[in-house]
Amino acid sequence: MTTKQQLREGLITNNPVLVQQIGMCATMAITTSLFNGIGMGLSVLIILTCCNVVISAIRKIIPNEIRLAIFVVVIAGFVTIVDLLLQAFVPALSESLGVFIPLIVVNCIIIGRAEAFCQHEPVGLSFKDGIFQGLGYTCVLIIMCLFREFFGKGAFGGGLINTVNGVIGTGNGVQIFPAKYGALILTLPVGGFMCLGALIAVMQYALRRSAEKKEAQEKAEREAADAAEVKEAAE
Amino acid sequence: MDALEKKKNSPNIAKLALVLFAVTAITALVLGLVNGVTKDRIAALAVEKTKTAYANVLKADSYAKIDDAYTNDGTITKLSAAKDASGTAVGYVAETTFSGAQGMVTMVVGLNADKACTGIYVTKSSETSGLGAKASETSPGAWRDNLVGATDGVALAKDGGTVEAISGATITSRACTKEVQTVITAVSSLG
Repeated sequence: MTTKQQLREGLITNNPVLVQQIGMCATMAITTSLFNGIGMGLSVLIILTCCNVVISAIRKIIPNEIRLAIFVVVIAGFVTIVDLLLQAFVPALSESLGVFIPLIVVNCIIIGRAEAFCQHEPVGLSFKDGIFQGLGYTCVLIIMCLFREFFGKGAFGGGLINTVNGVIGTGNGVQIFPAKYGALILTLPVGGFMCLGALIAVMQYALRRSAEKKEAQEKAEREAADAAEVKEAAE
Repeated sequence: MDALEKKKNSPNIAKLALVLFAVTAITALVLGLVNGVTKDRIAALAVEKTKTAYANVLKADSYAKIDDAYTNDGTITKLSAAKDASGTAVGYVAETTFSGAQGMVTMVVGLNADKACTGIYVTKSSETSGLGAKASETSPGAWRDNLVGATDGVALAKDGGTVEAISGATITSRACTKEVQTVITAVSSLG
């Protein structure tokens, strides 16, 4: 598997949220401001990459019977490390994401990748898998944040741009149109469900379109080859 | 025969325990190290935050802990008398820890000398992002402003009072409002 293929898988064809449909709980809950989305995405990316590398490195000594227990211990360890570091060095993010950072322990993306990928693959591939799957997750979060912020509150870049007294993680970002004209429902959890549903639908449509196109192309090529063969035979 | 085969295939429990123990021990060791690095900083940030909270709810020059007995349902962890530079009492500040919707909430409540609420400041909570977490917002016009000026008998509008709850977060709003009342009761009992 090449790096390019892995990147494509993480971002598009095997995107953790839109295609594998895992890790959706946090996706719906925290995508209320761009600051939260990027913070959560990067936290998951770092934890996922670390866990992937460690689990892949010790995959040969993990007995099959207790692999899940060991995965959970490794994941919980990294999550706690990231949680403590955030509390100490980025308190604004730690407060804003609240319980969702410790909850990464039970985020299916991480245990899913450990079970489906890292326990069979070498360290290098697992490392790249962590980065690309993490990027795929972050991209979905950012898209959701931008969409929900804009249509829900008429804002852009909450917590990152136009902060209160320059403190990162505060404020609603740049107001593009007055908040009262926004669809408040989008900023509530129910809006998260709707937004994610729409996003998954768009993704599935696009994937099917591209698969059909590919099929049609292959078919045309096959027919052309058949025709050439017939022609040859006739001559 | 069956039993023998079963024994052969069944994993060696001692080995499993050993591997799991080793992984857990290494994880614990690493966590201990990280905790050692971050512990002081987190504690310092918490102290800083409490200071900010005190100044935010009630501006004063000194805060002296009150040791006299007062009515306390167990949620008030520290009650202080606030004084200005000349030593005149300007009110009270209470540190409280109570149960919110998702876990414990730590909040600082300020009262002026007339026992009216001068402000609340949530220093620590795990309330739902986007709903209950709104109680922690400190920007102008945030929900907590609704509690400024609250006097004895404060309650949510749906409980017969005048304070509007955060939509979607009644439990958090009720808990915060009730805590303000608890502090008012406590200060009143000081006499």
